[in-house]
Amino acid sequence: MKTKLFLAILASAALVSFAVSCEKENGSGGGDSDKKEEMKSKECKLLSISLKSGDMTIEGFVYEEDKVAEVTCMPAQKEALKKASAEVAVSEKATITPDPKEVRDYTVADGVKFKVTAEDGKTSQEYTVILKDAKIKTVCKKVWEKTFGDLGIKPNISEIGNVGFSGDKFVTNNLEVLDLEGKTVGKLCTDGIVDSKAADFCLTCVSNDHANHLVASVGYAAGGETFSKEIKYTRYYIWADGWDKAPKLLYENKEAEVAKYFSASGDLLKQGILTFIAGRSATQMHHCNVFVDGKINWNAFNTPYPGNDGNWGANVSAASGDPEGYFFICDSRGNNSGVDVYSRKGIKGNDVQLNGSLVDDGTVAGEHGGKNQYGNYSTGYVRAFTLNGKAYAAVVSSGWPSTYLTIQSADPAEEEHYLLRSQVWAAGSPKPCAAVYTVSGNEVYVLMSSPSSASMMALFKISTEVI
Amino acid sequence: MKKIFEYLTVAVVALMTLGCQKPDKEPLHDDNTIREIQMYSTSTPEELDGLPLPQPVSGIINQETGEIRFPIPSQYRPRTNSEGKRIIQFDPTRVKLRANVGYDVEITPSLFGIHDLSGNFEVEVLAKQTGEKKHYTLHAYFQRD
Repeated sequence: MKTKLFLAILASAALVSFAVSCEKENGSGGGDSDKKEEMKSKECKLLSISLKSGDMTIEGFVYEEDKVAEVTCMPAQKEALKKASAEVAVSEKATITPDPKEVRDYTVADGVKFKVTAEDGKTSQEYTVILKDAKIKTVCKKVWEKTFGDLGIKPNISEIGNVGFSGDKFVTNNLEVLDLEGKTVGKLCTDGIVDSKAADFCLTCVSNDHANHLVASVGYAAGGETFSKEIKYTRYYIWADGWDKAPKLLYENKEAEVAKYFSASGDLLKQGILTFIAGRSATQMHHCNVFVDGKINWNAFNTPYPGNDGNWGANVSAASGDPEGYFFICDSRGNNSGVDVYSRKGIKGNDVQLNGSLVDDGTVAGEHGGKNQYGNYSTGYVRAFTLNGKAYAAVVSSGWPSTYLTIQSADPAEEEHYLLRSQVWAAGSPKPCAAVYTVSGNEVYVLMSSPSSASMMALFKISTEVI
Repeated sequence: MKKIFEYLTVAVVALMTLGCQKPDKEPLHDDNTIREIQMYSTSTPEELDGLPLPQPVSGIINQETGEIRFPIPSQYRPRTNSEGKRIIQFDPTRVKLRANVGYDVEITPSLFGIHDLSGNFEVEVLAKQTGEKKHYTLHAYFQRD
């Protein structure tokens, strides 16, 4: 009996132990999965974001407190951000929806929302990606200045407009091709240019459009078969495929000398403007040819400034290929009074007088600054361009025996009117000019050329920084 | 005479005893608060790339919750300049702190040195004379315009 009782107690104890251990097993099994859940990360942050469209990548900044990612962009970049993808970094093991790699419009007013979900699948945060207009600072720095001797090239002072860019190389009217460091890289290809093998052949005037296509005028005798500096027949050529490829004939005038004081703007292969001076008169007119997909729409760009007063420097330059956009006018004055420079919006707009800063800055004595502080000699040249959507001009003038360069906007009243206040080089040239290489909508190079045996070139880089 | 002398002696002794002023009781310094605190950038000249070192950022102190927030102006956020160089004017992961606190306190951990305030940086201010502690949580962030 006692044995039976003992065995019964033992069996009961065994059953209880079994039950408890099972419970413990069950309990510990449930506890482990809880622990695993606890171990899963709750981190769900958007750590970084960049927007990409084509070759353009813009880094954003995540304001964690506000759950906002701001992408600061220039005006010229907004169009591309209508179709952009995002590259993001999120907390480890977190996920993000919708897929940032999908292309979408990031210019929408309320921004683009993303949800970042933590590894635990429950914790999440929403972020809004919005665009912000960049506050920018434009910086103009001199890259180098070198004499023609330093550059190993021969100054050709036949006409104003002796240098232009072909891509990132600059080309002289003597056909020399140099890179941005001023090293010679070759000779300009003149295949197909009538009579370009003549011994004394040179380009009459050289410039480039804002797509960096080199454009040059070549003068011929009547009939157009013989290269001549006594011009009765003019051809314009464009190097659409680079300086080392044959150019194409862009424009031809069989009756007149229209090879001088020209300017090329925009993209002459798509939409661009080619201006050159017409016959001299008391109220000087310039031919303004608007090119649209190969078709030319001629306009008269009239000015009230005399072109027949014996002071021959006069040119008009468009800041873009838009005929409703800004033009800059340069007109030389007699009696060593210097040049007049104006900005004008549209072909028929009103002129706004501009000034240099030679006297204001104390760079020269009053009489050498000329009437408008560009220098007191009467040769001058203006080359317009667009930077960050704004029109500017490089104004080069000569104040014998010096050369001056000013880079300024179309509006003299604005605070940052000057990108470069008037600079002076103590070497003169009767035919100074400037060429512009457009790297992008917010970066350009300006090359000043003052060709004479004693004179030089100077290269400036104008870039934009986001503040 | 002798009695007078005795009375006088007792009077003098009594006066001496009563005349000695007991020293004032020194007040307890019990202020365990952070009254003001400022956060300083530790960016190197290379990181600044010619830019000036930013002004220190004052902490916004909530004495009730113990939260101290440092809003860093957005102009100081890290960015890449046009030449591809990384500009860092303020890095909340490595800042210096300077605080105005009460007398005879101990701050743990010490505010000396460089600290990471990108997350929550917890400090305790102990008024040593009373043993009272106050807890603060410091956090720095870039403030959107």
